[in-house]
Amino acid sequence: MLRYFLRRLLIAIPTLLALITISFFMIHAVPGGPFDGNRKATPEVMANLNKAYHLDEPLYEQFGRYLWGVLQLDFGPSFKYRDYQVSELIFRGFPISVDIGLWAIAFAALVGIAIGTLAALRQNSMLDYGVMTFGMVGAAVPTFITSPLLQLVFAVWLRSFPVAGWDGGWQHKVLPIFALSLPPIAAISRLTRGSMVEALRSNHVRTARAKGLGLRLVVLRHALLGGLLPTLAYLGPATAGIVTGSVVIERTFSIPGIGRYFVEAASNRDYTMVMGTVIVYGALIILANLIVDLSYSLLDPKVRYD
Amino acid sequence: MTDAGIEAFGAAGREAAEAAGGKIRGGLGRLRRNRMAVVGMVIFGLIAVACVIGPALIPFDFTIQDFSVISDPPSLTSGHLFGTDDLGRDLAARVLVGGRTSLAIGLLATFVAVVVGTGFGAIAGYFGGAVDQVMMRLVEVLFGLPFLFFVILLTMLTGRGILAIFVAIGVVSWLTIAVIVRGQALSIKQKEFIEAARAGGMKPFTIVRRHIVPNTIGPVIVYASLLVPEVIIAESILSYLGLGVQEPQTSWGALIDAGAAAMETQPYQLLFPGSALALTLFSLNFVADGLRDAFDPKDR
Repeated sequence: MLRYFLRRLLIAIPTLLALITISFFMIHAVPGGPFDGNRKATPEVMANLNKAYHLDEPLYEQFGRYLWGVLQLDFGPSFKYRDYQVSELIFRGFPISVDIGLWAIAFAALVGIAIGTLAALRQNSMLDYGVMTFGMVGAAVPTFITSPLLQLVFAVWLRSFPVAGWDGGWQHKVLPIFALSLPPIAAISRLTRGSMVEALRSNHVRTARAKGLGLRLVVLRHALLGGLLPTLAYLGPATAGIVTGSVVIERTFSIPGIGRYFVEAASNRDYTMVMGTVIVYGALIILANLIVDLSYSLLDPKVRYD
Repeated sequence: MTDAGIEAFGAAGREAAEAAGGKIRGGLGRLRRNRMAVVGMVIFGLIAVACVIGPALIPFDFTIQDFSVISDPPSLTSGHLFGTDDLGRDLAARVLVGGRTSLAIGLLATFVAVVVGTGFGAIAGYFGGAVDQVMMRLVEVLFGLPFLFFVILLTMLTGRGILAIFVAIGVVSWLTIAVIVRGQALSIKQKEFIEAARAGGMKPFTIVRRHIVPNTIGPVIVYASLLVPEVIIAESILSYLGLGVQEPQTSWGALIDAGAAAMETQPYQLLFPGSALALTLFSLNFVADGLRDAFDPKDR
């Protein structure tokens, strides 16, 4: 187990390297540059800018320079936010996105697994249909509709929470966390219901019931453990996506996270910033998948890695 | 062979028919006996037919702007049953035409994602070891690529439009399915019946195809039913960024996007495309659950 863990950590290095390489050449292959603004600069100014940011060098030299920087944990200056280093911007926004994102995914996992299990236990009942309808709505209604609706109901009408803004207090976190958790609740509840329906019919659960074990114990200890694999697999990439923020939710609730950089940096051709987001997201994906893989073997003792 | 035909052969004939590649037919038979699934299929069929032939039956073209009826609510007298949008275009025609785009992308991209993701995940999980390492690290790299740049590069290769969107969405949407199926495969391959198949000399790829893939069908279908709306919404975001379906062409995602902006003043502009999407998802959902029950080998 420990050996597998260490090996996976080692393999993460070439994986990340491959991701950085492909992404670097991909974003430079796209037309447009960071200084193609509306105001046309004189050729001399452009030449100076390109020189200052090393954009006049051949691409492989730029790549070598960037990679060397990354190895020293220097992600370069942002092309858009002059005077800022990419790492400064990310270190400022990332904790906020992680804060909201972790609450959202934890809430989603708790609620989703609970209602998915309930629906499976009462298959084809009103409760089941109700939960699954909610799941469908959660999956189908995009956050650009749910977020303003939540603001309207809970902030404008009921005045329970502030409309938007960020001061680090919990009042400002409730609505964005809730908005962020709706799509994963939908996915988790449906995945859990599906595999719980199967697990509850399986032989080892029937045996446990026949032995006279209580329903609660059987559900928690036997059905849920085996039935959680698909939910867990979904949680890996989903967590990585959610803790890196959502541009829609950050804009609606004016939260200074890093979700907006994923879209902003791309349209500004802020090369270093794009690479910064790629590295953060890629590393999180790798980490999340590793954690999921390790928990597989905890949930299902039959799963082994060789 | 029809049900009546099978019946005429009697029990022996039915067994033979089921055994002789009748797996799919048997599944379809079970699907047909599932009332909710049939209702779902009928509703979905009606929506699809309406989107295909409906625009020809409506007296308004979806591109024609009529400035005398800008943002008119639904009305029988004007003939605009769903009202008009902020440019005076008939919303009913736009919802139906938009449905063509959304249904095509939603179903096709999901189908491709399911086929690729299931195959990939099942192979990675079953073979394990180095194969698993290489395949799943590839998935992680693909997860991490900057999606927008990928889409822009694609549009440079294929031109703007539905093909670029289709490929872009297809390339990323199979990844989560692959992760889920691989997890299932890791667990299934330790079961006794796989050991039996291996002991019986079954070839690895045959085991993957005949035993691993069918046993992962449950979560795959559930996830696919979540993927359809995701793809339809993703299409609208790409179109919004100027990379996809361009005005006056439209899609449900684009209409919902526009409707959300006018939510407080003209709620019907959100209501109609939103309901079209919701109704489609509900019907597909019942079909998906029916498919799951009909084809899951564990439920026989």
